[in-house]
Amino acid sequence: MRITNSTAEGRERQATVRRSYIFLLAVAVLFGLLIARLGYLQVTRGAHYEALARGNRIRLVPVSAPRGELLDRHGELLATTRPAFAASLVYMGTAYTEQTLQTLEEILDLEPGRIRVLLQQQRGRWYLPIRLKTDISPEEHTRLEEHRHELPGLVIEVTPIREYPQGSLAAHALGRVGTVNTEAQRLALLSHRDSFSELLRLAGLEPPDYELNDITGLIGLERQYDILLRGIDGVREVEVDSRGTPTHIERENEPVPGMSLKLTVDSELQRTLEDALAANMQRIKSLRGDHYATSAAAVVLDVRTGGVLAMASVPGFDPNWSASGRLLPEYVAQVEEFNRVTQGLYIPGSTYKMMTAITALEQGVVDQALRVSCSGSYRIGSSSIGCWVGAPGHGAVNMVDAIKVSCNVYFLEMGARLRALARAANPNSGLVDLLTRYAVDFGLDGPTGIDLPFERAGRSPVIGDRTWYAGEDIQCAIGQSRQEYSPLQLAVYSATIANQGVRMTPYLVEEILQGDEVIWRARPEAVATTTDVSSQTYDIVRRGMLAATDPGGTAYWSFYDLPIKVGAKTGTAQTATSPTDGLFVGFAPYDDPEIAWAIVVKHGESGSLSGAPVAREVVRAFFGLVPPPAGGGAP
Amino acid sequence: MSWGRHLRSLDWLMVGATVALIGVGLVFIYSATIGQPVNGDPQYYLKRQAMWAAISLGAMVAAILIDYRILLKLGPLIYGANLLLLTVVLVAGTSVYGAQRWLDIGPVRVQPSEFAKVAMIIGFASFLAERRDRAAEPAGTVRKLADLLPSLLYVGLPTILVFRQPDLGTSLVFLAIFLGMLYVAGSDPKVLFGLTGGAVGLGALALFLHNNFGLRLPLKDYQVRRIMTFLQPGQDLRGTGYHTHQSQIAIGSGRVFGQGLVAGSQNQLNFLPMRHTDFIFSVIGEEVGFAGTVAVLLLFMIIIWRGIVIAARSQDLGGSLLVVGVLAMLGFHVLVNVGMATGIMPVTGLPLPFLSSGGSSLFTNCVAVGLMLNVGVRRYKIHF
Repeated sequence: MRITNSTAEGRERQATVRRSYIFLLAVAVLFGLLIARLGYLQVTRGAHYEALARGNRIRLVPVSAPRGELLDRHGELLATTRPAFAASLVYMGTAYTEQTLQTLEEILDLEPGRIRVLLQQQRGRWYLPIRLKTDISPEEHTRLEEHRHELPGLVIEVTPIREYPQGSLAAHALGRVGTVNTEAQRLALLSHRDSFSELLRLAGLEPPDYELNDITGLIGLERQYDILLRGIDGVREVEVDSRGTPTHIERENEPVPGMSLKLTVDSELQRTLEDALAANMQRIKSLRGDHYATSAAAVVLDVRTGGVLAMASVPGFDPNWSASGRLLPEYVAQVEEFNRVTQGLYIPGSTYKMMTAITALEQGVVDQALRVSCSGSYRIGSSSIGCWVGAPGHGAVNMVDAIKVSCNVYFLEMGARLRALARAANPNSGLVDLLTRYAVDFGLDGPTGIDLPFERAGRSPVIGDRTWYAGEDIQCAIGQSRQEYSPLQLAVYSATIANQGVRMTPYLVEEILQGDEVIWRARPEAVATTTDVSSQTYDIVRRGMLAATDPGGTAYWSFYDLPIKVGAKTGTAQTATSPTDGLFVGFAPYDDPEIAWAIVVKHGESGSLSGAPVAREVVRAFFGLVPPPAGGGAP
Repeated sequence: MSWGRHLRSLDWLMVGATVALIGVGLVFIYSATIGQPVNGDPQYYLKRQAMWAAISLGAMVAAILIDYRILLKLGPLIYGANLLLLTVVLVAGTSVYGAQRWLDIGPVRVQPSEFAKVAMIIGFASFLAERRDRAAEPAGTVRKLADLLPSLLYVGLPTILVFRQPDLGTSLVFLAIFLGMLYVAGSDPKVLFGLTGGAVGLGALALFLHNNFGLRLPLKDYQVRRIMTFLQPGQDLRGTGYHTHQSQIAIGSGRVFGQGLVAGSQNQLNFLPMRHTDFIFSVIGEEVGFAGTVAVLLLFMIIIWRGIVIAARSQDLGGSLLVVGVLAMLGFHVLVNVGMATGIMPVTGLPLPFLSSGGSSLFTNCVAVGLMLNVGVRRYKIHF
């Protein structure tokens, strides 16, 4: 077909054709490279790029689970959750201008530079919103909306906020929530996550994780039961476009609401206790001066179960302050949030004398008939210790009398006898070793095991490597030596005497509820222990405590007009700083005890002045007694 | 010679591939722009492209009708008009994105450098064929570097005008056309490859001196940045590297069969930049996967294969060169555009022929295909 008219032209044509096909081959090879590249991107690495594309468009936004509620024993609400508005900042991939931050700080009334600090803390986790302020006021909300266009990345979200409807009531028991701000805090929370793993497993839940900025219980029950209360946050998968603007919600894992706790606390009694304590402290201050009654702790236990009916620590705080993210200076928080019932240690003073009585009776160094003559002071070696009553003393007193009038001479004599007994068996031992042998069973050695975090408790001393002076040793008999106990320990000790040797472990949570269903109930009897002390001994000691509220007893004036028989013991402890601390332990009713208590007022002068009037109000409230409130107690 | 014979000898496979590519382009321009209505019309880009497709197919028919030999005779005239137009753009053009490439003619904004490619191909084909005819030596061949000088001047002049706009991409297309046509015209490959290798080496040296010793380059900052981004990928994912990175994510996430039409998140949620123009291939990759991207490349391959067949059968060298010039242009566009979308070429802003939204480009490419078909239907010596 093709007509070639010369061989030169023919060769040339052939060259052109050959080169054309080489050209085609070259293009085909290059296209092959493109296809290879596409194969690598789309087939080999397809899954990887699909994940990247998903990462581009999906943002995971946590949805806070509503925190479980705290209820008192009658179902009254002590802590709940309500929705509130919160202002957060979402990192938009651009640096925030100083102007933006200043506007935000100004509207939200944050200290200048605060947001920079928060941004720093969030480093590396910028995909999470940075919470600037929780529970913003309607005015703040309005102003933020007005300035929205100049505040890129600002989000206003509805967030559950912790609310304590009763304010400061039982604040130390309830505790409070706050944000996890540092990695160290987060790790600390994670470390005790396993304590409830069994319960969570039963409820079919995974132990939740902790993240920075999480709201979590920091103290009190809120912390102790945080794992159960917090529930499990849901996750909302939000699809966003290239500018981070949400387009729609792709998927949502519903949050699992936290469990609720029904407490042993009786909020009426709690209120009575707090009011009475505050009122009496105020009375002491006005009688004696402002350096009296500076702080206090009081706890009322259900004798038969160990359940805490009321627990108060002064000064107190309103846990609502922290739930909204407002800041209280750290040093103020430390003083006010310190739970003196479970964390404060106090010298027991005369409230310890029952322990000495029990030891003496059990060791047989005395019987109930023996009388010791009190002349107002007692000699140990070359020094003498005075009885609080002064000369001419209590005269001849037996055990019951000695407890009733709190005679130091009598108990020092018991101490001396017990010391001699101990040293006869082992010259290197002393009174404290014998006392401790019994005290351990009364909860006076180490933590009581209450379900509150950070419990501190005193240990009963023993004669170790260090030499004890005879005076130091013997003074243990009147609780005025090297013993230190928490008010809760003293309450357990008092309840154990009331219970004639059955010691219950104090606790605050009666029931754990998931929704309306009770999934766990306290079984106090399972953790009860008994003492190795005879019933005659209890009889004598208890009669002494009853006598203390009889005419002539140290606590008579607080209880004389009540139709309920009360066993009690006052204490006045000398500490490094004067004035003395006032302590008061006891139980009621005498015949079939239902409640036991311990009250300690720092610089309260004496137990009868500071503690007994408070106990009186507790007894009145608990048993529904309505005689006119009496005046102050006798000294 | 009857029109029927012409119709029969028309390369229908090439026509089919071209129309198919334009159709695919319309589908993905629709998908890429559905989320960004212009003047409230979500199908604005689709309609505009469809209108241009109609015009361009018309132009393609026109390009078949006029005998290419007449066009070759008019070569010097077309070349001269082209130089004039490119000069006018430099003087009176409209700037978009910092480049002066557009000319407003009434309501239409055209990009003369697009048409310049075809003008250059016609001009250069006639130039080479003419020289061959006059020379004693067979073909307009280049055996020594000195032989290259006239051709270099001929192509160099419009190339520099385009480069000054600045349009680095199109001036590189000129270079590709230049090399492809010279090679098929019978030039010594050693000289051509030596020249290309030398130019690349010189460019690398210039870039090195620019970066380390502050040598001033006749390139804009963004052009240097793009080249650097290509050489060091992943270094600047939020800045210049963002486009390539997002494009690779889009293509890769399509996997074998794609995320589905109008269902690619990279496309629909705006992560892909310039997705109806330069990055249309990424949308295809995301929404119809490896199957789709390979199919598109195969359609291009069909055009190139049919083109080479036409070139081989052409009755004269001018026709062959015309076809090879067009194929060099199309092939280079595809290689650079797809290479850019897949991250193996720097971002140069070359559109994907027939697929990228844009009237001037579609028009030019259709005319170019028309020229190839033109050579194809006139492959027989005609005796009047």
